[in-house]
Amino acid sequence: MEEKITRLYDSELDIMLIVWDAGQPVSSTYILERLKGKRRWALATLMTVLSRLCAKGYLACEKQGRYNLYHAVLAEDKYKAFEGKSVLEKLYGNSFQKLVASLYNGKAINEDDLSGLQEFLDNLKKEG
Amino acid sequence: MLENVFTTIFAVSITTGIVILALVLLSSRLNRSFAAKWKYWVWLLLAVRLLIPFYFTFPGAPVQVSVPDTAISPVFSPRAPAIPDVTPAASDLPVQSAARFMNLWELFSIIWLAGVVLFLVVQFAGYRRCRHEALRWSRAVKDKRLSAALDQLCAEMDTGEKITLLISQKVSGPMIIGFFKGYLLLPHENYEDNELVHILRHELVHLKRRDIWYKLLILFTTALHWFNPAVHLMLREANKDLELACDDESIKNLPFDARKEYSDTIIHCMRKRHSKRTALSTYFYGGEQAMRERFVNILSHQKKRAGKVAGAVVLLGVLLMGGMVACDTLNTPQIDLADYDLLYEQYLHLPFWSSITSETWDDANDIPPDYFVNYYAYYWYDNHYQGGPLNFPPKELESYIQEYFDVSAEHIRTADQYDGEEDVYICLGLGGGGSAKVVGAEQNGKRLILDYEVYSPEDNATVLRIGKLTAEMSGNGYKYVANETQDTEAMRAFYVEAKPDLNDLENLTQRYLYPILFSWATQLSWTDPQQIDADRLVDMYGYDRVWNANIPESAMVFENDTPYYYVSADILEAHIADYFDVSADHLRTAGQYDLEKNEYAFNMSGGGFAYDPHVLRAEYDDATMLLTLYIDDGYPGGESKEEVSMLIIQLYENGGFTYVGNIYSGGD
Repeated sequence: MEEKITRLYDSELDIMLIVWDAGQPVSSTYILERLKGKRRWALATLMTVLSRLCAKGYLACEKQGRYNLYHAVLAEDKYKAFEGKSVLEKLYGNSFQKLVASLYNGKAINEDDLSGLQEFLDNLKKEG
Repeated sequence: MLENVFTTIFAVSITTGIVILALVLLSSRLNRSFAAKWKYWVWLLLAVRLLIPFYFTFPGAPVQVSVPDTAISPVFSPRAPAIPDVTPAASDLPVQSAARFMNLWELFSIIWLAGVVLFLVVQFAGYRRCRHEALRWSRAVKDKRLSAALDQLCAEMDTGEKITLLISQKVSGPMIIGFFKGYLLLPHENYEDNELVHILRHELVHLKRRDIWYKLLILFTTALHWFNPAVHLMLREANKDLELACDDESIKNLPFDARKEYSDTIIHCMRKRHSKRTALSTYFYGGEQAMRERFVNILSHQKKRAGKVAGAVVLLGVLLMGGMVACDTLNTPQIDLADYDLLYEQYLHLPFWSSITSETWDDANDIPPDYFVNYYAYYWYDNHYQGGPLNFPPKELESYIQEYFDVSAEHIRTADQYDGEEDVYICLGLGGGGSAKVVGAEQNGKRLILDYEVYSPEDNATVLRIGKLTAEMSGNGYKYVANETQDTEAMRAFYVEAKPDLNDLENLTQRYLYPILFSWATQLSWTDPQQIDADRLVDMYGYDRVWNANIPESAMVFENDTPYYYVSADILEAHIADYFDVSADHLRTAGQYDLEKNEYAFNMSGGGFAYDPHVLRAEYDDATMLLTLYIDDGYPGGESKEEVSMLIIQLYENGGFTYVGNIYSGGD
């Protein structure tokens, strides 16, 4: 995988995420099943994208009995590092927080304060 | 327009900002006894108030905020000393010059609008980008336990809305995104069962309360009021209270241990996230303090009053305060009441020159429409004139007038200068005499009342008329609401002096004799104009306006090779009525009247006139003038002047007159 990495299409990334998450060679049926919560694809569509990923050298295909099993050639960390975090995203993080309903503000607190906060919380218990 | 929106927004921003500050100061005290929920609603109410560009205040508001008033008077360019008559060509619309007058408020309002646009673009571009990134890196959940828990909670809480659960590495914590299609995003799926319930319930409460829309509204409000720190403070507080209110709802009826577990879940999620994050992330100031408050709120969840009654009381208080804080500058601008010259320039100049102050009125719809056209023409002449005709697009003229008068466009369009076919106002010329000065000024609340004097054009010192012009201030603009005026003794005398010089016989002949001459009415005796043959009265118009007027053949109608020119009945009858108190019915008995067309026909091959009397002497008694007329006896070099008749003329103060009788003593 010394070739230049190119940015993955959304549909390609969806598949890569599943393959990476599985951590072992998987069949196309498995991928199709796992995609269901996000995309409803016909098998033919999936096969097209899979073959494209294989052609690009991001996935490898191995025949095992009747099945083709796929595994990642492109490592997750490597690709993540490639896509990185754009300057814009850093800039925009705050505006995102203003328009989503979250459990907590992702940028609310840093590591040091977190321990202090835990302590504070535990003390509350005693008093409570 | 933009300026008005901005000044209103500004006024609303200042007054509501004070309420916000007061509320924030009282916040911690209020939090102790009341649930966060009511404040959540108060912010919403304030946000809605901030979004409505309508400014109200109670009269005599006790709190007055003074905003530095930065020379908001429109700048008039020095006027040309003489105003020429400008004859326009109807098709030749002037190029409106770019020399619009600019004032500081206009500049501020442009900066404001640019700020709003920039704020919104940055916010929404950022949101879209992050949303796309979060969804791009998302995958469906693997663990069936998660979807099962979500389904169960959805049913339990009756959220109604369908939501898609996804796992995305790109989110910093559990969150719901999406306005129309909602996604619940989790950073991973390795949660304990009890943690999962706490997290999902918290998010579903957000969903059920439509908190994303709430946040959108508050953010939009902040965009409009980006210049106001108090509104930014409100944004922060509202988001904080939104979280507190959501916590309250999530842990409703839970025992202490469960609430502790809920708090631990939050802190656990944060901690877990941190182990994965790089040190580069930025954190906003005060985050820990906010979290502490949140935990205190969760754990000290003693029965707080839901605050329905208290909330209502506070809401009422907020509204009252909003009404009682008056924004001084915008309400009643600081006007230098001693600087009469400036007051004249700003408030009296145009109404005076356009004749708007020549009548008494308290409803702008009672002002003759022509004056409005003059008003705009003078304004335009003073500020933008660069040569060319004074033609104005109706919308432009009317909207300008409506800034200063409550008058309908329909009324203005009844002006003579309005050309309905071309849809344009054509100002044929500007002129006028005399001068005016402000001699007194007072301010009564929003009303500015100017006392003024109008001087004779002859000496610019004799006061001919006095009056009071009232303008009402609003925002940074104003409207004229009334004018009262009356003539002085000098003006009445001026009218009397305007009576003709009895020795200037040539002038008397031209002015008083020539108009009637062509009616032949000086050749018969009458004491009521109805006694004059209608044909002759109509011919008077013909001599005056038709036969000597170079009317092109194309305007004539040929009937049996005889050319005729038709004049509308209204025009002709009005013309005759200027000279005779005669009814239209009488005029219509004339042979020239064409009932079908409701027009008068003039035979253009006719004409010719020989009778040529002169004024021998004139005398008058009060308002009645007697002209004794003679004709030359016809002998060359003869000196005999044959008196032929006595013409009786009624004079009016405004310089007009009518013929009221004639005694004919000449031959047949």
